[in-house]
Amino acid sequence: MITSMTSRGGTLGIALACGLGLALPSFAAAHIERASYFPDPSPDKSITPAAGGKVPKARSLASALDKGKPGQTRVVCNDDSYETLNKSVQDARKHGYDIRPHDHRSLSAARAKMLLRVNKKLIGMCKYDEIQPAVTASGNNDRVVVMPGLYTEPTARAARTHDPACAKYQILNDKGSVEALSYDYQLHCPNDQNLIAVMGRASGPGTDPSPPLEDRFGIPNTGPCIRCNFQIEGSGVSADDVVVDAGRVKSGNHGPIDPVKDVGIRVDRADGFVMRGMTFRHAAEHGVYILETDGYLIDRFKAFYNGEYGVLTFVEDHGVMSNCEAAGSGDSGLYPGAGSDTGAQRQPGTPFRYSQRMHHCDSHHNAGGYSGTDGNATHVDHNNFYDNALGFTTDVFTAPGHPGFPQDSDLVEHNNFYDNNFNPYVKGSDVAPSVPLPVGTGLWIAGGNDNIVRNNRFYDNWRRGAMLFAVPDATVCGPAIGTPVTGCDPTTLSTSYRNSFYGNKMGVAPGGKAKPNGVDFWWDSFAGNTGNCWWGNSGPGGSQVTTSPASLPGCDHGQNPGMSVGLTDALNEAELLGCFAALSGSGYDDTTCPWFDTPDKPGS
Amino acid sequence: MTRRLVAAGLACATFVLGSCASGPQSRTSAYLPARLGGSISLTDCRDWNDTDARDRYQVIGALESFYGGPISSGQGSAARTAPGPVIAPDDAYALFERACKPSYAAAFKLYKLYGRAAAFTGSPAQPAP
Repeated sequence: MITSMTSRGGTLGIALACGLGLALPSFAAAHIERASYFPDPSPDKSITPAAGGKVPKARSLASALDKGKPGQTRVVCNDDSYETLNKSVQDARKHGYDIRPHDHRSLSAARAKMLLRVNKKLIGMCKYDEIQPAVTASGNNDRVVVMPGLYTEPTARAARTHDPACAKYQILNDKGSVEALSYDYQLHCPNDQNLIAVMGRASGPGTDPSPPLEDRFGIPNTGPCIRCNFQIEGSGVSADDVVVDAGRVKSGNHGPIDPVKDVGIRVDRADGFVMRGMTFRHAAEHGVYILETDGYLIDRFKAFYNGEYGVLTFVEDHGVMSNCEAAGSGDSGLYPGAGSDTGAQRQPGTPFRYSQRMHHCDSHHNAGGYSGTDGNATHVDHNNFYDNALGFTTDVFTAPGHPGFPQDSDLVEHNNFYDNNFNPYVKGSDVAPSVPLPVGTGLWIAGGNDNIVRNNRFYDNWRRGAMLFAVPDATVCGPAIGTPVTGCDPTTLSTSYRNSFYGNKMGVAPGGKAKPNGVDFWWDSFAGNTGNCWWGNSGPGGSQVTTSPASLPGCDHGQNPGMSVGLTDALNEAELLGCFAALSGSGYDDTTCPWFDTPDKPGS
Repeated sequence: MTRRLVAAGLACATFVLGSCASGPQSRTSAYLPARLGGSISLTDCRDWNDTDARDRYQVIGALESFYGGPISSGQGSAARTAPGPVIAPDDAYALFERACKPSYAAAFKLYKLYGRAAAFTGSPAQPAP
């Protein structure tokens, strides 16, 4: 549904629209990347088994020893990998181990024995002491097993960044510029930006379209699978045993990061990719970066202190990230962005489905816990977002080459959003924030449609539990005055419709203790927005939730969304305007925008 | 308008092989000098504060070139593309001067600040001839 802003008319409406749009500087951001396309969601049957078309299944570690299975195994190790593994096993037998902070497990005698037995055989198979050469030597269905140890990838580190010899692979956009690197560039110069690169397909037979195609479904000019159904895994007890470091090793799992490469591991057009049991840290941008890939599973992994995102997935389909921990990111810990449009904007004749899922992850002590610009049709469940400035954001701010506007159709359920009061903007913070975010906020949907937020807990977020507000198209794809761009009419409002919040427990910890949010639910009530409903949410002891404005539409328990029509909440719009002023006027200043100061603890 | 033209001209003059030129021979480098973070995806407020006006306009030119690229929306027959919005170089300069002033903004990425400001206050970029 698209509503014309012109129907509101009036200076106030324009001013409010300006305020909303200019509040955008507080959003987590799209990143700079080549023009990207949603991968074909059907399986690629040119190889056996077919690649993509579904979430891949991880092959067991023990099966790496079975030469009867498809694919060849390559083993990477350090001189002391087996000793490291042995120590880790003994320690885990005594004290257990952490999949993530909220998932501490014991190591059974049987699994300990299996790990020792398999690793003993793996050490005999080890022919690599760096990961990239093993990846480069791999083909379809192959796997790389990385034995316990710290991997700094000295050869990749020494590879020249911005190598003039690679300039011939640059691609022009329609302005004759080359800020984002082409697939061919990454294929031929894999360690220019990346510590490790898994390039899944060969060069295409032709040339990449320039300017990019308007229809972003289907990757043009892509080549055949050369590294599809590829699996890379650590062979330790947990992800803690296999660490890939793209920067300052002696910082451990903390900062400062002093990065050497932009990306820890890049997975590009590698349909059917699986990664398990590894830690990535200290990349300038992203610890794990998956792009234009149909079918991925990243499981039991950790990402610490990467400059932008612990994990960034971009224009993906059939993807799952699970059992993970992300901390110390300058932007967001986990970013499943621009997921394939399989929700409200799906292609005609195709069924609704979630294109990505993220579950059983802990994202904490980042500027943002979760971010998903144009993060469409993503199922987010059973995660913990805590000790961030902003626990969760999904938004619509896009950039050239980024498909998927407007954001829609997320399902956010059974998560805990709590204690998101970390202020990375104070002097001495160990996290260097790359974006300004509103400290003290559990979740916000900044311009999204058809999202469901249900059966979660929001507590101890000192500003707000959950916020919803509109973002006029003008702020995304064109100027307020002038020629419309990107196909969206700046006078229209196509975001913040039909979002539902229900069954959430607000201001109460899992044990039942009251831990209030500043305000439980906050809405701008943007004029003309429809179908946004809140019902069946409860506070401590079943009490009513706190809201701003004082009353939110319940829509007859969600049965009649037509009862919800935005009428403008002047106070809340004023806050957005104030935060715009903070950017465009005097700089980030708590006298004009309160978002960058830690709010007072409720009741203090 | 005059101010914008002068600023744009200055940007062209200081931006080697900059975005104001046209044709395939006149490419903008994908990279910036190391003192500017190496590429526009990495340039931050610390770089901005530590460099001079010439370098700053080089960064602004690169940002303009990127954000002026094509943005797509819709799908199938409804898919559309148009150049993204950009802001005048001296306006961008003023924006970064303000936004990069606080000490906590040191690691703020300039492309993120620019993108948001351009999206609302900018003008559509003109496609290359």
